[in-house]
Amino acid sequence: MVIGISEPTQWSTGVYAGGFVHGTNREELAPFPVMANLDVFDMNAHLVGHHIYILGSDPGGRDLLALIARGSLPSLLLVALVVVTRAFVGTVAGAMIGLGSGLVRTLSRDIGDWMIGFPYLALAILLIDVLTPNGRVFAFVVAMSLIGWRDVAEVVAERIQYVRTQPFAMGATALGTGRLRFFQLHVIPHLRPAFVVEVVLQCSAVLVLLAELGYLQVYIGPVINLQNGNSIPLLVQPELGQLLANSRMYLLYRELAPFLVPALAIAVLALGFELTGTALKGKWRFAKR
Amino acid sequence: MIWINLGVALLNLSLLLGLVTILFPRAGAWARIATLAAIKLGGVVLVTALLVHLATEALLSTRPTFGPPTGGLVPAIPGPHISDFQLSAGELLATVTSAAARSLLLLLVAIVWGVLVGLGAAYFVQLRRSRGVLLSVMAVLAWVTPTFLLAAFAQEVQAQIFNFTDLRISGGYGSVSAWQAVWAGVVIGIRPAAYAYRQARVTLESEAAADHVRTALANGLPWRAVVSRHIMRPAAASLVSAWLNSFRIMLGSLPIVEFFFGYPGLGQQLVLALGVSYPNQPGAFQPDLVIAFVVCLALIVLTCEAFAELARQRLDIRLADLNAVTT
Repeated sequence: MVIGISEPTQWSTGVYAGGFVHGTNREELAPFPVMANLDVFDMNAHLVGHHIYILGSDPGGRDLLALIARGSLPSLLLVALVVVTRAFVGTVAGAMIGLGSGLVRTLSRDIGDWMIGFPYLALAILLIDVLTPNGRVFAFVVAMSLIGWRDVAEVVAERIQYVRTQPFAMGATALGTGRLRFFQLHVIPHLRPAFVVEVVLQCSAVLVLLAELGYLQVYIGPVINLQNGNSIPLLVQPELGQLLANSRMYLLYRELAPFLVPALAIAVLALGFELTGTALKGKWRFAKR
Repeated sequence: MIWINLGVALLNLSLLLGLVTILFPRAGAWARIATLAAIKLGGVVLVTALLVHLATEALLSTRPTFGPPTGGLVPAIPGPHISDFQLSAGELLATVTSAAARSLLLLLVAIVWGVLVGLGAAYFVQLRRSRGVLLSVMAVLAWVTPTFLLAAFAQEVQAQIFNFTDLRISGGYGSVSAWQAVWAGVVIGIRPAAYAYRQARVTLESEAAADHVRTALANGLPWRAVVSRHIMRPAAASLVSAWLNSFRIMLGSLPIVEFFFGYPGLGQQLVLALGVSYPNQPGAFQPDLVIAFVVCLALIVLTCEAFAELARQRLDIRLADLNAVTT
C-alpha cells in the first residue's frame, strides 16, 4: 500500500493507450502485464513518461498497484462505518434480547430471524437503490449494516444471558443493582472479548460483501466509459469493490491481472481481519484458562 | 397490488394458525412452526413490495453522474431502466417455478457436498483427536475468498482440463446441464462447507470437554463410541443449526455463482431483474419479477428453517427427555 500510494497520482488517474517496452521499440497496448517496464503514451500517442507496472494495469493503462492502494482507503473507511453501525445496532438489539422483558426479547429475536429470511444481496441492492437519492455512501452504509447486525446481536445477547445465570449476577440483582449499572459492572467485562472478536470478524464479512456487490456492478462513485471497440467502464475515484465491476469482461478477454489483483487484495485484507480475530479469540481463551 | 393482497393473506393465515395453536395446544410443533413461517413470509412479501416500489421511484428520480467525455472517453451506459413489460400471473408463476427447479438442483449438489465435506471433516478430526490445523487453515482461506473468485478458479480449472485432455467438462456456458450443475453446485458449497466445518468444530470441541464425556472415557468406553454416542448425539441439534446457517450462506451466494456461470436459475434471474446486466448490455429493473424471486428464495429458506426446527426438536436430547417426562 505504501508503494502504491507513494506513486505519482497520474498513474492512477490518467488514461493511457499503450507503451514501448523500455529501451526497445516493442509496443504494448493496455492492459499491461505484471512487471511491465514501459515508456507510456496517452490516447493522443504523446509520450507521458517511464513507469514500471508492478501489478500490471487496467484497460485504461492505470497502475493496478496505485489503484488498489488508493482504492483501499475509501473501501476501508466504508468498512469501518458499516462495522460501527452494525456493532451499534447489534449491541442495542442484543441488549434488548438479553436484558429486556419477554415481549421485547421475543420481538427483537424474531425481527432478527425474519431479516435473515431475505436473500442478503438482493436486499442490499434494493436498499442501495432506495437510499441512493440521500447519498451513495449513506445508502451503502445503511444497506450493508441492516443485513449484518444480527450476528453481533446474537453474540451480545448470548453473553448477557450467560452473565445473568451466574451466581454473582443473581447476587447483584438481589442487592437491587439497576439494569444500566448491572450492564456496566457485570456484563461489559464479560462481553468485551467476544464483542471485539466479532467486530474484527465482521470487518472481513463486510469486505467480502463489498467485493460481491462490486462484482454485481453495485459500487460507490461514478464511472466513465472507454470506447475501444468494446465499451469499458473506467473508474473516476478508485474503490476496491468498483475495481471488480468489470471482472466478467476481463475474464472474457482472458485479462487476468485486472480481475485477480483487486480480488486477491480483498481476500488478503479479509484474511488479515480473520487472522486477527482468530488470534484475539485464542488469546482470550488462553487467558480464561 | 397482488403482492400486498398475498402478504395480507399470509398474515391472516398466520393468525388462523396461531389461533389453532392456542385452542389446540397439542396440535404439535408443526402448527407453531407454520404460524411463524406464515408471519415471516407475509412480512417478506410486504416489505419487498414496499422496497421495490421505493426503488422504482428512486431509479426514476436519479440518474448516474458521469465524468467529462474527453478523447476516447464517453459517458457510461445509463443505469437500469424500469421495465414496463407486464407478465401475467401464470407467466410469472411459470418463470419462477422453472428457475426455482434449476436452482434447487444446484442447491441439492451444494448441500450434499457441503454437508459431507464440512460436517464430515469436523467429525473425522474429532474422531482422530487431532487439532485439524491444516483443515482449519483451508477453511479460513475458503471463508475469506469471495465466491466469484472461487468461481473464476473453477472456470480456470475447466479450461486447463480442456487444454490438456480435450475433454469438455464445463457443461456449456449459460446452459442447464449436469456438468454445469455440478461445477456451480461445488462452487456454491465451498464457503458454506468452510463455515459448517468451523461451527461444527467449535460445537464438538465444547461438547468433548463436558463432564459426561470424561465419565464415559473413565468407564473405559472406546473413543469412537464416545464420539458417536456422547459427543455427536448431544451436539446434533447445534449441528443442525450450523447446517441451517451454512444453507443461508449458500443461498446468499446463489446469485453470484449463477450470474457468473450464466446458469438461468433463481439467483441469476433475480440479479438480472434487479437491473444488473452482463457487459455491454443495458439492465432492466423488473419490479414484479424481483418480488417473485425474493419471495421464492425466502420460501426456500423458511421451508428449510421449518424442517431444521423440527429436526432440532427431535435431535435435542434435553427436549426429548422433557417431552418424555411431560407425556
